[in-house]
Amino acid sequence: MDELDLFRGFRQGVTPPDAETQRRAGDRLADALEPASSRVQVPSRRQGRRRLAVLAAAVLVVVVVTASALGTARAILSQGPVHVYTGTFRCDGKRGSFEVHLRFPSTGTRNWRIANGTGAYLRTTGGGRIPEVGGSGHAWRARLEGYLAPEGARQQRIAIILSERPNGAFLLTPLHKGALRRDSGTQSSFWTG
Amino acid sequence: MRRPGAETLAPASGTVRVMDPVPTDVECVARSLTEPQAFGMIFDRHFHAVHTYLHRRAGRDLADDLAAETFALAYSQRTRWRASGSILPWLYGIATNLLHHHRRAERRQLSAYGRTGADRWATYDDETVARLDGSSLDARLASALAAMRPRERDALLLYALAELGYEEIALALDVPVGTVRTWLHRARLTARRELAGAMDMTPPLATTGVDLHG
Repeated sequence: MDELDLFRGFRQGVTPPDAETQRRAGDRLADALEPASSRVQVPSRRQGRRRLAVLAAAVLVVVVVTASALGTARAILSQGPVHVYTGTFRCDGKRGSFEVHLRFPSTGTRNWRIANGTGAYLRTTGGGRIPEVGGSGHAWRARLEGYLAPEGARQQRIAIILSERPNGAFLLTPLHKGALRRDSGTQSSFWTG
Repeated sequence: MRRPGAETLAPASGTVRVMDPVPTDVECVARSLTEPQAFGMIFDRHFHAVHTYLHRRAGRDLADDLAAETFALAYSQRTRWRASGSILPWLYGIATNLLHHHRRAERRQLSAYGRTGADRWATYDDETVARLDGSSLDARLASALAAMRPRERDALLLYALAELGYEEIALALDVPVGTVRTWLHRARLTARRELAGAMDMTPPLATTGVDLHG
């Protein structure tokens, strides 16, 4: 028997990937697909119809957003003023530290921005939106998405996961290649408002 | 945006031309050039195989990270794929190259497994069976793998775990077939030297757990 065939049995019977692993990998791929779907292409004659369709879609989006905004305004007027909570998360990683300021209006878009960086994050600017947040204490978790621009480098699409509060962990993952590298560490937070 | 894993393989309704209801890998990749979501079918089809390959090579934790990275990278580099039947060998090649960034960790892991006989990195369907029947020979195999050069180990494990042929390994690692033959020959010599005792003592397949796990 060939020695190489012995290795066919190496670690046989390992568990298959579970649903959670598959979901996370799917999300990672979806992140990779997203910028490509919105990439602007050089127009050609054949794309005339497509451009018309895009224009029609844009008009539709404007109409829907306007209607939605009016709806939100009505909701605000009927429910009272928008209350804005703000949070500051100080993240200490292996490559440096930075502060993230989160803004949570009771209605509307939740967003974040970076401030006060040191090390790899010195004079880094940027921010974005918060598509996912929830839980409390040890189960609390927020996903921040957006762009960061380190000093003297191009802006880079990243995602930051904050978990647990007031004290917990953070994980910064670059979604595009660039100056910023993957980083993780501890975070401490406090809320105002 | 829909998660790629949630893609269905159902053909679009209203098409005039009669098409194969399950598009090939070549068709999926070609379609993904204009419809990125079509790449989700590649993910659905091959994620399990790529994850299992990485799991058997480098343990569960690394497999979780690198399998996800493999598909993201494959998507961004899909125009480089030399379309030929299944995309799986090419995906194995990307996974193998990603694993190269962790080759020291992989080697340390294999050495420790060979030395202690305890596999703390992989998770098994049936822990008891794996420990009783697989660990003894597996540990010797791990020692042999740790003794090989990285590219020889790559070629061997693409052959043994991913079950690729010589041509497919050459495609996956982007080297000539002759180089693959050389690497496998050297891997064979190392394996022969490291496993000399094991091959004399035990009827190999009876102790690798093939029947039990398969």
